[in-house]
Amino acid sequence: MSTIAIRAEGVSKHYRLGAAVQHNTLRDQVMHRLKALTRWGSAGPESDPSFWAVKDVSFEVKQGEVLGIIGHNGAGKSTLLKILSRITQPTKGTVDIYGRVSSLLEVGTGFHSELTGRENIFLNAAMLGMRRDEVRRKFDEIVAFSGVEDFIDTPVKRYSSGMYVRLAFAVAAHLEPEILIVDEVLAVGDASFQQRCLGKMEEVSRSGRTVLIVSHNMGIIEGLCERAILLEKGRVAKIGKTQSVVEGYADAIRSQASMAIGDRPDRVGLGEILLTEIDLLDKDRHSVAAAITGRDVIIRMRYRCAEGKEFRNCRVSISVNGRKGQDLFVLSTDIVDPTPLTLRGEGYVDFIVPELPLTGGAYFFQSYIEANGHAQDWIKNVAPFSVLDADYYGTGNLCPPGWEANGVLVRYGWESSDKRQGNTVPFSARQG
Amino acid sequence: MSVVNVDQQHQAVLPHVRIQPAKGLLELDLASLWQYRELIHILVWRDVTVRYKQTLLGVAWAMFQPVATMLIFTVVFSVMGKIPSDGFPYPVFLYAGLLPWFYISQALSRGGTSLVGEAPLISKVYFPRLILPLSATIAPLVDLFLAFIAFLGLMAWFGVVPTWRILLLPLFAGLGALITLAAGLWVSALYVRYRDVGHILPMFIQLWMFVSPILYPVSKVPEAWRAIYSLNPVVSVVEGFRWALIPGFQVDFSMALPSLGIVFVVFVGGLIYFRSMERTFADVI
Repeated sequence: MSTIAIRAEGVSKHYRLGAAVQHNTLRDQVMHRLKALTRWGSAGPESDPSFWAVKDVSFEVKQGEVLGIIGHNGAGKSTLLKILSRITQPTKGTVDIYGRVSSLLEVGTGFHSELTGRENIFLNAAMLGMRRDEVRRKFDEIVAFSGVEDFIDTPVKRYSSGMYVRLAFAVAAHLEPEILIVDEVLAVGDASFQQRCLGKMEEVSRSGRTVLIVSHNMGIIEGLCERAILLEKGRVAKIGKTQSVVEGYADAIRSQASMAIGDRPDRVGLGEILLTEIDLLDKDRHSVAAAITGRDVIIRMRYRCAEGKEFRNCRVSISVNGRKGQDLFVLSTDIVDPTPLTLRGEGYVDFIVPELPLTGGAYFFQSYIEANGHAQDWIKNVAPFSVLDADYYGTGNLCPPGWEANGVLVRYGWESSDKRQGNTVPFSARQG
Repeated sequence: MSVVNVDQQHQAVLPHVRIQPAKGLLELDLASLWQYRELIHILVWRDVTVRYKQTLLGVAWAMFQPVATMLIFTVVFSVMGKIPSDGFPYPVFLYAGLLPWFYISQALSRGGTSLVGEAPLISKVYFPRLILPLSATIAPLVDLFLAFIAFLGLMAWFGVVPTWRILLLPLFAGLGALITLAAGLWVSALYVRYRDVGHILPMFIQLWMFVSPILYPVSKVPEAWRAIYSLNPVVSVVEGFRWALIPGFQVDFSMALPSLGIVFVVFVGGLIYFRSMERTFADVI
């Protein structure tokens, strides 16, 4: 009989938005009290905006099991991980944990930019609960895994962001707790490093340790976990074999995406600028239901600003995500044109994509609007995006099976040292 | 029944933690601080190291600062202001008071901001939060030690030979640390909730200096006020430092007793307040 590593029973977490957000100074607090007094007995209890980030979550994880946790933004995944990692307390319920826990809610927790790589390894490891002699023993291994040997005595402020992340993950990868809690940290680093991290994760799970992973990447969840939990609005919507839970998640995305965008609850940001609609247009600006591979397409993002306000330095972005949640590419107003964008009232931004480089299939949009560096409206999986297949290269040839690369196509040509063979680079010929 | 047995079995092998909403009077759980002693150690080391990284003088700054301050204050308050120093050379008298004060003011401003300054840590990783104000209080002890070395040079310059009393100096340094930690617990926890603290704290520290006998001797305080004046526990620390370092310096330690009671109450109250606020740090910060 296998033993229990984690048992959660009726775990709930309540947040009171008003108290936490608005009364951060004494003056606010005093004003708040005064207002409450003047309202005394008239309007009844004040409607303090509050919500359950996690509600009645119960589950068990057996020792050596790898459990995935999936769900939309705001479904309570991060809050649940924070409760399990003892960062925040539950409002109700209990969790019993048997074994030493390490939780990785980000890579490089506690890294100090003035300290060298060597010093940061010790600092970060201590934060994550590794003993000093343990770090000494594994030090060479950690450095080798990170691949920053030559810079180990350089302050990390001189590191490239890639080196920084690799060093940070190397420390994390050498933790040996009985229970490991991981929050989407795999979404960092270049592809080959990610591959190495995944390998390490598999190794960890095979070594009989218990692992909890939160990720938006269904590929990773399906690859690593036998069982998964789907969270929706803080509750357990589905629990069981990974495949059926992932299917449940895909259904949930589809049903949510059919809702009017302006009414969607699963958004993050200040909300003074809201995305209200996404339309697909062809190059003559006629609305279309689906885009076509290789044809020009216009993605129109309609927005509505808070009345009477003007927002400077805005950025409107949209990214195209594949079926498993990976980002395929990002379109953002500031990247192609650095002049500041000002938004007011209602309006739209059109992204014009020539010769859509995607194969036929189902994709998702993720939208993001910010003003002056503050996130205004961010919705993951904001709308589905279907693409009808067409002959992209004009040769009738398709990618060989297994080489579809998540559906992304690139315009290219090739030449041979034998100049009689090969084709010419096609851009210039096709433009105009 | 069998489930219970299994639980008991591996409870014996693996550490068991129960996470649940805290209720009733909180246990202080000082044992967990011991478990995390390596983290305290490394945070103290980090604070000391980072402070003097990429500086030309390095740790010499820990000596230069109090010495420079001593020179300036001596010119302003002794040469120009004619403030007496109970017959001892004013630079020695002043520096013996600046020593603990530099420590207390530094440790309090670092300890008080230790939680808000480490907000990313608090929301991303678990450890007993008490570690942050604690290690911020310990780290400046290194600076205190270096400033003390400089003081030995000053004593040699003025031909002052220390007596056995100097051996009791760690006792007064410890009292200074306890006072600072007691105040730091309150300040750091309040700062998480009220950002006003960031504005109040520097003023508060400055005010505290003037109600402590750093620049002037206790004998300048009117007799009638002295009992109230001595309720400030920093008075005991500063007087203690002078007693331990300056041969022949007289102190009436009976005046210190009430202030020790205050330190104890503030410290225990601070621990309880900190522990009760600790649960919500990650949500509020």
